[in-house]
Amino acid sequence: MEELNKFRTQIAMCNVCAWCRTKCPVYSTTKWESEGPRGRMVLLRGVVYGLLEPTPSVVEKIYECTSCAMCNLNCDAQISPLEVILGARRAFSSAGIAPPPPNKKIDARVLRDKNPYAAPQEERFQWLDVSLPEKSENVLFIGCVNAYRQTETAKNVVSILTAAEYDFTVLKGEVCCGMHPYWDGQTELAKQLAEQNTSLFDKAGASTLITPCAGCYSTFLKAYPQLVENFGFKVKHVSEVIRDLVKESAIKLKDGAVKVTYHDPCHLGRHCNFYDPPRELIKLIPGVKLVEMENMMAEANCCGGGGGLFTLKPELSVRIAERRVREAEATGAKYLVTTCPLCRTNLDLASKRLESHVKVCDLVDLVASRL
Amino acid sequence: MLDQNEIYRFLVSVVGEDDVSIDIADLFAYSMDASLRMSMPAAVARPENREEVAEILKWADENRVPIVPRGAGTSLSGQAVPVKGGVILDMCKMDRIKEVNLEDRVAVVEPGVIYDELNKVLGKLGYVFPPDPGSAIACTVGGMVANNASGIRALKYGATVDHVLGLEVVLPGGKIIRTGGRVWKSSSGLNLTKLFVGSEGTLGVFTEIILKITPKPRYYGLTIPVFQKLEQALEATVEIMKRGILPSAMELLDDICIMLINNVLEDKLPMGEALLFIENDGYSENTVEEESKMVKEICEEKGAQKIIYTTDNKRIEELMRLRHTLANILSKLRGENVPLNNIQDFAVPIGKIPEAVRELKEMARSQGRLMVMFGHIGDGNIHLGTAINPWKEEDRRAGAEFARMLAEIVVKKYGGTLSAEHGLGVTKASLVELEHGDTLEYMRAIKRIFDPHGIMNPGVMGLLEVPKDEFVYMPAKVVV
Repeated sequence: MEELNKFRTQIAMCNVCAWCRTKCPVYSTTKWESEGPRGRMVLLRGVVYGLLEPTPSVVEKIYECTSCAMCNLNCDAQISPLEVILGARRAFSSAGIAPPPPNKKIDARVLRDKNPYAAPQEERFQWLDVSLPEKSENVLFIGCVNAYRQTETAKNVVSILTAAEYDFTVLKGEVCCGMHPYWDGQTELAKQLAEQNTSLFDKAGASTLITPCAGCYSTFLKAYPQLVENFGFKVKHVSEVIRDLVKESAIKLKDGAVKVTYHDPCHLGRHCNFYDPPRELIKLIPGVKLVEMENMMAEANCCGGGGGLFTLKPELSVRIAERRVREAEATGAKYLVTTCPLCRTNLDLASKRLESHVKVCDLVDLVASRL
Repeated sequence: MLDQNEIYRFLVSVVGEDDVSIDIADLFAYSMDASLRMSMPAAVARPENREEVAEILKWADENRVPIVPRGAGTSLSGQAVPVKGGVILDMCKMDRIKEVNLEDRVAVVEPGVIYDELNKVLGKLGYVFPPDPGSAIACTVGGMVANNASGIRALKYGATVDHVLGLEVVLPGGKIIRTGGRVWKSSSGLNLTKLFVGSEGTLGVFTEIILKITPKPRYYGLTIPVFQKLEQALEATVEIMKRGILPSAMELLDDICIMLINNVLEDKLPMGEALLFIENDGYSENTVEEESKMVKEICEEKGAQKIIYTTDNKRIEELMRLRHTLANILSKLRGENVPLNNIQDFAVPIGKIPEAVRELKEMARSQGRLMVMFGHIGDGNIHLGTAINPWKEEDRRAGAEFARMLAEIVVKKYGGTLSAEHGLGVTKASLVELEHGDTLEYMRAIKRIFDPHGIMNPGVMGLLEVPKDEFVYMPAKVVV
């Protein structure tokens, strides 16, 4: 377990004070010590000091994390529990004892099909009904969830950018950004995907990557520079591109009074410090009133879908999302708007299960409805 | 003694399968608290009401199964470490604020309520439960009561014990008793409520707590005098108290603490051999200004080189946060070692602070130990920090000897206490006799009345046994 030893000092410097677990979405939902960041740090202390075997149940606890980074925000000892957890996942994966079977299955699909849904590559852009230039400096990276599961949103992104006569293209050879294997600790697979995508971007002469997915965004911004040498592309979330287009009056949006609230995806917010552009765009839509939830921006509660938890424990994942939907309900908003397809999926499941009056939608869809 | 499967089956029959675990990952995660001491339980159960607690305690008593109640496991002395195994009762599911009654000025809560969450609710009504421990964000009210916890504002508002009016307690054997009530004072009989506060889970399990609540002050002033000599800061502390001022907090930071904050955190403090954080609060601006002025004058008299003063609540919060954070960033100094917890929480009579501190520092110097000093100096509570390698026997032995030498100075020479607010737990059990002497026998006799079979949190407070080495409970490798 040599790789885990790199984190030995960080693990030892954890004071086991429990500050990290106070807002951990998993701990707050299950209230089992082993299912919060402090418990995970204690387990890793056991493993790193040779006191505890990394049994399947120990390994599973290390994967019961949404990678929301709330623990980092609250760690008063100024260490990064999330970095340690990712390091442990890598170490366990290298040792062949991780990821847990459900996650391994998805990673195997990603390896084989280049997406987590076992869908053929040729169907990735089946929804695309307009022709785009072969080359552009601006490459729209649509991401697996929108490409295969939320194709209306994918179409809406293209419609908005086309309506604004924005110069962009898509690359039909795009493959999974690698977020799932990256957070599963499957670094080699993530690297392989990162290299494949980067080579595609290079060949297309791209300088800027635009994505409607918070997961792809943070993977490009934070993981790719570690995985690919000299990864120098500018990365933009589609909400900032659309915001600028609306500001420049490249597109005009129709009026209509409605109250919405905004959910900060963890991988945009705490991971990339990206809070303002979606809010600015929402405020630019005529008649739309933004009301914030009690926990917003850096303090925003997680949707429960990230870090591979949706794969490992879908039921727990949706229970976490239910808390966020309840928060949205308290604002009196009609729409819970987000900028991540995975958050949207999970929040939508929760909203339906709660029979909530709050409708979940992607910001792109809200904008498209006003074209 | 029952085996683990029998224990599991019984617990499931009481609280249900979802709230019991004998999974190795759970047991190991519950083996440790913030003392960084470690010992595995046989099972963990999460009762939801007093009836479930009573059923478990009846069975545990009959079968001699150790029971360790656990709040948030933020205890710094190993009170939540199951040193004799048995069952951890995680009280997290009993987390209801049952009532806040402003007419009676009380709050009635279950033990698993988080301190900060309670204060969020009370704060909206203009009230507070004021002891303010460093672990406020995470610790539970039940844990605070079990530990008689306090923190920076205990100087003015007292420790937890000063706010507990009544308790519902489940005793070993399953009997449920009530002590005290919601009256603010009572001279009726022996005060069992106060006996239970600080009993560290050795007498029973709290299932309901009645707290006196306090109006929240409206104005604050924070004075930070910087001293070139530590002695000047200590003399200023004594003088402030002597002149009849009662700050809401008076905190000491020595030079190592200041350097650590300045190196690790973004916010910076002025450098000196020591500085004080003196907070005055009140219900009128004038009172705060007047008291702060007197504080500043005394600090100047005692040689403060520089004084920072602010009444901006946001800035006060930021600065006080530095003080809170200090306790956690000390881990940057200890690295892979663990804190010597039994020297962390001494208190001496206020007038003896300068003399006692001088002697403690001299002792550390003579032993060649790096020792940091901070704490709630206004009430004589000194947090000392040094670390040892728990895996090296000679280091453990040297640590134990060092702790005993300091304890003798504090307790024997200055009439102080081993623990002002962290409790005794397992880490100070070997020193208990030093402070309590023959009185310890009366404590043990009381323990036997409530817990004749010694099932409640055995191993802490030195009530049942006194281990020679607090690390004897460290586990060997856990193989499944």
